[in-house]
Parts: sequence; C-alpha cells; structure tokens
Amino acid sequence: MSTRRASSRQAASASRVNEQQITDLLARLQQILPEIHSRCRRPSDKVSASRVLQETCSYIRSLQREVGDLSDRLSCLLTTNDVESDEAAVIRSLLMRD
Amino acid sequence: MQSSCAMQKEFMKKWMKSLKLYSTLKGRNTPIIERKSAIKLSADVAMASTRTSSTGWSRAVISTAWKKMDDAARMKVQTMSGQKVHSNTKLCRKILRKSHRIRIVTKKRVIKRSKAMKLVDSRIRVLKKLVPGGMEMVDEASLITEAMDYIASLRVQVDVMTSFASLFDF
Repeated sequence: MSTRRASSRQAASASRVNEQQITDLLARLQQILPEIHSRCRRPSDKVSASRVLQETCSYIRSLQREVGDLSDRLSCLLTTNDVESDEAAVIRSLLMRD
Repeated sequence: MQSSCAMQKEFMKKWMKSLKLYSTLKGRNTPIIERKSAIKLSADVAMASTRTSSTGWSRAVISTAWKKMDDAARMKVQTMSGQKVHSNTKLCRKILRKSHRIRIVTKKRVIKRSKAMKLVDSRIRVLKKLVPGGMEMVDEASLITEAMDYIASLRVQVDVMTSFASLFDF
C-alpha cells in the first residue's frame, strides 16, 4: 500500500518538475513572439499558456504564408538564367550591409 | 545560438547553391509554377540544412523535400547537408509502437483535465500540425523547443528572401 502511495507521490513530483520546465519554455517562447511581447511590455505572469500557444501557431502560419508569397514574387522576377549572375551581386550587397 | 547575421549569410549561401543547382538541372523556359516550387523548395532545404541533425523539424523538412526531388537533385542535397537522409517509415513505426505502449499504461489512471488544460491540449495539437515533424513528438517540452528554433529559422528565411526580392524592385 505504502509503496503505491510513494510511487504515486514520485510520479506527481516528476510531473510537477515537468510542468515547471514547460512554463519556463513558454516564458521563453513569449519573449520571441512579437505581438505579445510588444503589447504587454514583459509582465511576468499575465499571459496564459493557451494564449501563448495560440499566438505561436498564428505567428508560424503567417511566417509560412510570407515565405510562400515571397517565392511567388521571386518566381516572377527571376528567370532561371538570371540566378547565376545575380548570385554574386546579392551576396556582395548583403555582406556590405553588415 | 548563432547571431542572426551569421545565420542569414549561411542561409543565403546554401539557398544560392541549391538554386544554381536547379537552374543547371532544368535549363531555361520553365513554367512559372515550377519555378515557384523550386524556389520555395530550395529555400526550405537551405533553411533546414543550417540545422541538420540537431533538430527534428529540419530532418522532417528535408525528408519531405526529398520525396519531391529526382535522383540528381537528391545527390546534391546529400552533399550539401552533409548527412544521409534516412527513410522515415522505420522510425515512424518504432515511435508509433512506443507511444501505443505509453497510451496503454496511462489508461489505468484517469487524469481529470480542467477546461483550461483541454484548451491547452487542443492548441498543442494545432502546433504539432504546423511544426514539421511535430506529429511524431510525444514530449511537449521538446515540441516547444523545436517550435522556437523553427520560428527563428523561419524569420531568417523571410528576412533573406525579402532583401533578395527588394533588390529587384527599383
């Protein structure tokens, strides 16, 4: 009997440690998300986990959509023979910017 | 974590390499839809190859891109990412069997989930579908870590592609 209670207590503390780990990760995720971060000016605990996850999903979706739109634009602007000549110019410009 | 500048340069180099590869393979006068998918595919492969073997999502991206390529392109991707691409099916079956076993064990204890936790669960399910390779992950913590890394790499990809596109708008 006591061993069952001890093992269930162990499992409960293990899940508590896990939850702490997850809340830490969610806090870090909150720092990355632009909308929550700018709106709340970094309050410590005001944002719920489900809200953070929801913002994450919509942010990922919008980033993926942007990649699709950009590749649409680029496919109109580039022809396949242009790529080779532009490569050097682009890399040079990016390097000069830094 | 690398600085974002260094990541951008690395992504740019790899993307240019794979685009060049595509243009040598396909030649001129390809239809626009094919061009778009080539650009997107090479950008995704470049993004994933900056992180290969350290994150699950990059492996998943490369294996989905793998299925869309022909043999010559596959050879080049292999040398670019510096790693062999294993077929995912064996890994999937192993993970399915493991998660099935875990399911059976937890059935004995019925855990009451409050409304808030159910909401969190449904959001996590959505996130699993969005992050490549997310459906195979059993652990919530690793899913969130992968999502953070994926978001950082997506941002690099978008920044580089935007600056590339802006060069043409004058």
